[in-house]
Amino acid sequence: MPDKSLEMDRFLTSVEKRAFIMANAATGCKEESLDIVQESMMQLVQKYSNKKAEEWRPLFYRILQSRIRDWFRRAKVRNRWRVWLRATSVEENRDPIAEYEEPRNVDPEDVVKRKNAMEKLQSALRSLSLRQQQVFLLRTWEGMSIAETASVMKCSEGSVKTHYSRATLVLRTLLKDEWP
Amino acid sequence: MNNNKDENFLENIQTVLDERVDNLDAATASNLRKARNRALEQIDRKPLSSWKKWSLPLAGMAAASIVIMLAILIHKQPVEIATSIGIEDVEILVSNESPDFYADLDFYIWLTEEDDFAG
Repeated sequence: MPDKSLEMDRFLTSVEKRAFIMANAATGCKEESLDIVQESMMQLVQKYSNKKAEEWRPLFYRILQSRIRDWFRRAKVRNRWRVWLRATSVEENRDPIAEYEEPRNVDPEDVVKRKNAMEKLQSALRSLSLRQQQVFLLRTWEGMSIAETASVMKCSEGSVKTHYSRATLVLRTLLKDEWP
Repeated sequence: MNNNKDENFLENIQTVLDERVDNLDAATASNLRKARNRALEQIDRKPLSSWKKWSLPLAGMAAASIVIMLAILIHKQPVEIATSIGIEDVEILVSNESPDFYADLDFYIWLTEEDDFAG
């Protein structure tokens, strides 16, 4: 079975960073996103490693979406409690120095530009509803068809079309100064 | 024209997201690698079939119930015996009769019954 293991390793390597960014767009939290990606990888390996490699991608994204939705539900409940208990928010506990990403490129201007663009996009993506955001990322970034996206998101194709067009409209409005 | 504009806009978003993947910080990339390795460790472990998932805890619970019931039964019996023996012992110790009387107690009981029957 080493071939299977190698094949799975290659597959997970190809999706892990993208999955992390998708989860991060939804949660806005690095640790939570890492947990979501890890759980998704675990579940794929445990349940579907015996399936054909071509089937892994939609299965993985389906698991990922399900995990993101679960997180979202839990976060809603947690937030209610947080407001009620007036506990300190995650934002307040963040350590900007620890979270600072060291630029690897030599051109600082380029790094700043890229960082700004990503921050604006991240913020625009976070202003979308979870469904709009994930449909948009699956369609635009993962290049999934409407049918594939509907299957991954467990919703109708009509719903995918609606979410996608609304998401594009909102992003266009929010990012018009960035990318006219 | 509008389509081109849309395409450019979406391409820009793709580019920014791709750049984010390429420039992901080392700590996150390392954590993802660790997570992947942890997941890959599961590849040769066969998942338990559903009946095994249920049967193991059920069998455990059944075995535990049997052990508890047996413990209760075993524990209860000696207590009763010990109590009854204890009371008899106390009676013998407290009474003024000699120990020989108690040794021949069965004989005296028989004798009393015979007397009652005769007279």
